[in-house]
Amino acid sequence: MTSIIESKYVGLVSDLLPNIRLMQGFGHFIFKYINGPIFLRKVYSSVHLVLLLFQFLCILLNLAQNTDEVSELTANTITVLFFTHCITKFVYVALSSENISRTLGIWNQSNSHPLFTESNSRYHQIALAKMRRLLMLVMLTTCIATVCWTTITFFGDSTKLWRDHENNETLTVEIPRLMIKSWYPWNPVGALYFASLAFQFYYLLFSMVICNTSDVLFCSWLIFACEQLQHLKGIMRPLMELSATLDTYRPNSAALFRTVSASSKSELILNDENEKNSNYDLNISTIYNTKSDWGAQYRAPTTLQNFNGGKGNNNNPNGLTEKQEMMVRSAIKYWVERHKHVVRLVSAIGDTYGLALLLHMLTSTIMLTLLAYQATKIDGVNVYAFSVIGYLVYSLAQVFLFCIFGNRLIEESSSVMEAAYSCHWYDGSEEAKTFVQIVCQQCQKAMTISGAKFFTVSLDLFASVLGAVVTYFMVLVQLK
Amino acid sequence: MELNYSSVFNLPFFFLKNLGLWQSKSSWKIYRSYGFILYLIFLGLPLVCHTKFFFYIVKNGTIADISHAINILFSLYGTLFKTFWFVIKLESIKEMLEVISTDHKTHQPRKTFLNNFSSYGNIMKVVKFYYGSALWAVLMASLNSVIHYKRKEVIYETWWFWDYKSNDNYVYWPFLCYQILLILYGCLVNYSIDIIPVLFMNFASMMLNNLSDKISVKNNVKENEVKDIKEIKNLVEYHKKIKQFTDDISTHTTFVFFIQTFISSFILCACTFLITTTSPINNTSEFMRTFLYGCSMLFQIFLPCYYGNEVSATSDKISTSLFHSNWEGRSKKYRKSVEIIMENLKHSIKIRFNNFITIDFGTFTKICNYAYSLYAVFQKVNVK
Repeated sequence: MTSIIESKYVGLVSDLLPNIRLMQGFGHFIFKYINGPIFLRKVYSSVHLVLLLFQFLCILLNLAQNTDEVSELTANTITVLFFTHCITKFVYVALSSENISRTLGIWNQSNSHPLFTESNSRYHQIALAKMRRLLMLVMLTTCIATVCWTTITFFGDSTKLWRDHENNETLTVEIPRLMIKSWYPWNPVGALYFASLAFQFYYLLFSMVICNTSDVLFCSWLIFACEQLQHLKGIMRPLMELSATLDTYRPNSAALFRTVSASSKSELILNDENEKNSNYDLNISTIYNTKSDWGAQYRAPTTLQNFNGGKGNNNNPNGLTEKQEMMVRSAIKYWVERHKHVVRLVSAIGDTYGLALLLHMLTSTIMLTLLAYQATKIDGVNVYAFSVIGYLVYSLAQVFLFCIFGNRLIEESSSVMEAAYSCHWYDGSEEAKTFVQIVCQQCQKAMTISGAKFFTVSLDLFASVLGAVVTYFMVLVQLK
Repeated sequence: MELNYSSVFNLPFFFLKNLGLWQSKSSWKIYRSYGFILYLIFLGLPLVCHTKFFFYIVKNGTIADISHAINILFSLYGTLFKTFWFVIKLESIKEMLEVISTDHKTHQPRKTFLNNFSSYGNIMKVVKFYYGSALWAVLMASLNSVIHYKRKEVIYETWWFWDYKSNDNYVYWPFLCYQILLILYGCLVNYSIDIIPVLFMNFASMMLNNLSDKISVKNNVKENEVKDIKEIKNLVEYHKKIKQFTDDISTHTTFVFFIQTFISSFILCACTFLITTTSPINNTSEFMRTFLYGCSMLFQIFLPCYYGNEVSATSDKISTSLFHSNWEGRSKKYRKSVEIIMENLKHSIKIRFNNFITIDFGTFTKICNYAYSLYAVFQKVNVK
């Protein structure tokens, strides 16, 4: 029963369904793509939000209560900032769920061309595999991180530093052995201690998963866009060879009109004899399928020019039929339309998720600065060292995740020009040469994702973040 | 006179083959064992001993001792990673050498184009100077110890199985000889591996110069479409080949540069610190030794940056030479194709590590900057 219902989802939604289900399961405010009462889902998400906010407020209260001692203040601030990511992402996804579903719906209707369907589906499968692998990897890492955090709680002393104002000295005070230093309205002893432990475990797991699933959604979009660009680069050469048949003699031009797949031996374009036998109407819609995005109306395909001025008037050196000629001309149109579609997708991704990235970077920068300070106080291989290094590695890994995919998009989009240049364009028709020239000019500007226009998501960003952390660390070491 | 660029690689490959690192699938077992044993004795063993010594000195030593230890530790680890890289990438390097030899057969430069010949002469001088400086540094380090043999001074302080500072001569001299040999091994391996990307980059800029020259040859041909298209085809194919070669350089050989960057910044910092704290008059030999070591590290980083920059600069010239060739009298198809080529030539060819760090003078200044910041931290910590 479930499979019948699931199959009604198309495009990006069906590709990203595991990710979306995971997000919905962990309480994100995404209420599309579900069957069943929405009201219960809303209640479920609200309950999670309330619980997460409650714990976050408890951590904040703990911070407020322990501002006297500098090291406690720093440690608590780092914890607060770490969990700010979760609240930010939770609220952000809730507020921009319309945008997210719009971005997911962009690829619901894409154009197709009979000669390139095999290449299209191949790259689609590659993208799908990569997205699934990324999701599994990130979920595994999150679970490992949660388990490690829980485990490390049971090592070392469960204490905090407390400044005694009367004697003006720093005392070590015992606190309950929990994962996060937090104030509770109840006293966590006995049965309540185990309840608090379970609650904190739930909080840890849910915050990290909520944060990471939305980042993985963003990265999966970028993976899809990159694989589409790979598809466009892949069909450039057959496109050139096809276009060359229009005005240059090619000995084996019939072979070009077979599908790219080696196993398929069927001719896509019927010969003239077969055409006479079957009542085949010269209808462009059977060759090239153009459907607009955004679910708008299907546009009648009357836009292709007929250069020959009627049937039977064939100036082609390879003796191509009219239908074959139409197919060649429509191939270039397919390429351009597909590229436009990808550009639309990328700009939608940037508009949807850019602000979330900006907020993430702001929080991360402050947290990493404070972590640099904490790192100067490491004096040996102990629980403190492991926890500081753990925080550092986790935060840098989060930033690295979206930087690497942003960088890949930049690289792929600027390499389209190289692909256009490296196919045998000099053998192509004049139309193809103009096409290559325009592609070269357009694709010089790489497609980028910006964090609400403040910065570009690329490895340069990651390098500058890393460099800044190292600089602060060196300066703070000197000041110590 | 024909240019044979492959002969430039003779010296580095000679050292690498004789030191047992030319490990390919077809190597004899004896050679493999020889390489492995040499590797263990002259790299594996000192590495383990020195790591142990480093952990000890960080807790108990002065900043000067730590700086000396850092110098050797990073050099040893750098050599370790570089040798692994070389053994893994040997097949790719051989393939790139094939590209060089086929280029000689298909695209010999014009006899009147002397630029490439002088470039070839220059790189030979650079290689000789490079090895000369390496051997000179080794000599200075050895002489320093030999001069101070009464103080039982060794080339670098490290942990060893017996106390080499005791008064028995039969304990000290073998150890010193061992250290001299291992420094020589490490130096030759290090320098030989480091020069390989530099030689490839120089060849890439020579190919680009060759291309520029072929473009700028003024042919007074009448408008002939077929010949024009053929010319365009040759031009574009050669350009693509050069791009493929530089991509191979970026993919296969820039890892060495990355490792060298890392170790050079630390070593430069440590050397600068030691130079500022050692008196050139009282401890002349030690001062000279540290100074030469710092200089050779700087030179090791400078060479790839210079030649990487050369590649970018030379690729920018192709557009100009294409513009200055006689395209006005050619067919319409030729001019259209020139438009497309010039569009592509707007991007200069860069040698990049992992599509991320470009190897040019900008990176060189960043490395020096970083080394100086580290040095400033060391200074401050030392003052305290």
